[in-house]
Amino acid sequence: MSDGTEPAASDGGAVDSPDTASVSRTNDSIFENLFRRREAGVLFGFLVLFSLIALSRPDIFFDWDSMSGITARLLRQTAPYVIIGIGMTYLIIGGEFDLSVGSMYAVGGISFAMFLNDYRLTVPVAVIAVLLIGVIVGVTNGVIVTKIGVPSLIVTIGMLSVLRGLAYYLTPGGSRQTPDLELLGIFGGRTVVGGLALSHQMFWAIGLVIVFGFLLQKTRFGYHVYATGDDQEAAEMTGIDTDRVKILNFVLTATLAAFAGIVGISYFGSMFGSAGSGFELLIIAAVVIGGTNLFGGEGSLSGMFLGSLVIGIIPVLLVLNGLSVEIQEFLTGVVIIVAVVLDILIRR
Amino acid sequence: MSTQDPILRTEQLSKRFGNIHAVQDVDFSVREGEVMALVGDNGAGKSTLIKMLCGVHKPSNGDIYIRGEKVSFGDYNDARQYGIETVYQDLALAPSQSVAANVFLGHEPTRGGTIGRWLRLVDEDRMVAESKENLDRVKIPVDPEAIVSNLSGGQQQAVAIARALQSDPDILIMDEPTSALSIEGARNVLRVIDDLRNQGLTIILISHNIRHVLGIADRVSVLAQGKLMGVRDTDDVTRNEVIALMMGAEDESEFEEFELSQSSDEGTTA
Repeated sequence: MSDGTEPAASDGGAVDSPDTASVSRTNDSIFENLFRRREAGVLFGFLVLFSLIALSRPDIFFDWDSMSGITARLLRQTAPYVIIGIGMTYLIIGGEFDLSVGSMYAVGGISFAMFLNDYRLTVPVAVIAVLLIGVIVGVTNGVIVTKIGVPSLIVTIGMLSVLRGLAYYLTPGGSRQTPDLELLGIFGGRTVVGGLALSHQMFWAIGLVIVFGFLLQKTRFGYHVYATGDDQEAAEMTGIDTDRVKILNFVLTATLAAFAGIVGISYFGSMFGSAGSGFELLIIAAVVIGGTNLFGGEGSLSGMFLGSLVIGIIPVLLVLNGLSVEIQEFLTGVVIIVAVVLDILIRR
Repeated sequence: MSTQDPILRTEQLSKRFGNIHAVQDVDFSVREGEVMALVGDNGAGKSTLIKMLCGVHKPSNGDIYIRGEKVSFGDYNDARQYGIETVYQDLALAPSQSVAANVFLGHEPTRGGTIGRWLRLVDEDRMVAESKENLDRVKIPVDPEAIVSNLSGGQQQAVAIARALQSDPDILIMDEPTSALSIEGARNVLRVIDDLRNQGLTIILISHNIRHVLGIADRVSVLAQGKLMGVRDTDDVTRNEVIALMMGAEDESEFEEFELSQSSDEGTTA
C-alpha cells in the first residue's frame, strides 16, 4: 500500500541549494546580490542597449560632450521612475499595484507650486503638505482595497482619473510655475561631477533606494511585505496584519509619487496637468524587468533601479537613431510586453 | 509518557453552518503527553473540530477546557497563548522565503540597541541559529538559509513543524501531515511525531491513513457525521473496528464490503 501520491522525493536527504536565480531576500551583501542573481541579467541587458548606442551612433558615443549630456539626461529622466518605483516594488512584492502614480506625480508637482505661489507656504511646509496629500491618497487606495475588497486594478484606475482631473483643475492656464526660490535647488538643481552635470533628482533617487532597500531587506516590516505577497493566508495565520502591510505600501507609493512630483517641478520650473501620463506602465515594467515577481513575494530595489535604466535608455537609443515619437511609444510598449512575458515564462 | 489527566477537553462542542451540523455535541479529550489520533471520513467534522481547537472557528455551542480552565478563542493567536500550535495540511509556508524566515514568520527576533529596536531590525544571525535548533529537534536535515520552494515535501513539513515548535507549545495539532509525502517522507514525519511525544509534547494527529494512526498514536477518536463515535486505545483496536466506527456502526461485519474498497483507495486519498 502506498502512502501518498508524490513521486519519490529525497525527503530527509541532501538539501537543495538555495535558488541562485531568485531575487528574494538573502543575507548577501549588496554587491554579491548584484552580481550573482537576477540583477546581473538586467545589468547585462542595460549594457547591451548602451553598447547599441556605440554601434549605431559611434559619432555621438565617442564624443565626450554629447555622451556626457546624454548620460546626464538618462539619469535625470530615470529618476522619477526610480523614486516612484521604490513604492511600486514594495507594493508589488506585497501582492498589489497602483496605477494612479502618474497622476499623483502631477498632483504632487502642481500642488507644490500652488502651495508656494497661492498660499505663500515656505518650502519645507509646502513639501510636508504635498506629502500629506500622498498619504491621504495612499490610505484611501489601501483601505478600499483591503477593507472593502475592491481589486487594486479598479481602485487605482479610478484614483488615476480622480487625480488627473484634480491636476487639470489646479492648472487653469494649462501649467503651473514654481517661484524662483534658491531652496528648490535641493530638489531640482544640478551638480557638476567630472564634467557631468548631474541633476539632484538622481541623488534623491539613489539615496531613497539605499534607505528603502535597507528597510525592505532588514526590518520586520520588510519581512512582512515579502510574506504578505508570497502567501497572504499563511502570513495572516502567523499573526501578520496583511491589511496594515498593504495600506502602508499604498501610502509609501503615493507619497513617493508626490515627492517625485516635487522634485520634477523643481527641476523644470513648471508642470502641465498632463505630466506623468503613462508613468504607471513604465514604472511597473521597470519593477518587473528588475526581477520583482508580478504576483508578489519576490523582488528587490536594486533590480528595480536597473530596470528603470533599461526603460530609460530605450527612448534615448531610438531618438539617437532618428525614430519618430510614435515609433518610440510603439517599440517601448513592445519591449515592455516582451520583457514581462519572458519574465513570467522564465519563472515557470 | 502520558498521564491520565486531560490537558484538553471539550464538552458538548458543536458547530453549525446554516442548517448543517458540522460538529455535534462532541466530548473530545486528550491526555497530557499522548498522541491522540482523530480519524473520520471526508465531511466527518475533523477539520471543523480542529479549527475550533486552534481558534479559527468559534463554536456554536459547548465549551473547551485547557488543563481544566474554560477557554474561549477569538483567533489562532488566542489558542497560541494557551500553548496550542497547529501544522496545517497546506503547511501555510511562504514558499519564496528562506527556511529561517518561515520558522519565525510574524515573530522575527529584532536586534538590540536603540536603532535596532526603533527600526525593528531583524536579528538574522539569531534567526538562523534558533531555526537550526528547532530543525535539529525535528531531525530532518534542512539548511535554514535554503528557499522553501526548493525543498522536498518532507523537508517542508519539517519547516512547518519547526515553526510550530518555535513558541514551545504544549499541544501540537497536525492536520494530515503524511498525506502529500512519499513513503520515506511519511516515515520521517512519523518518526518526528514519536520523538516529539518522547520530548513530552501532546499531539493531536488528524489522518486518513489508519495504518499510520494505529502505528503511531496512543489512542484514536473516531468521528462520523459530526459526532464522536468512539475512543479506543490503539493497542486494543483493529483496523476493521476503526473503519466500522468511521461508517457510524457498532458492528464491524456490516462493513466488510466497504473495507475492501477503502483499502484499495487508501493509498491515494489525500
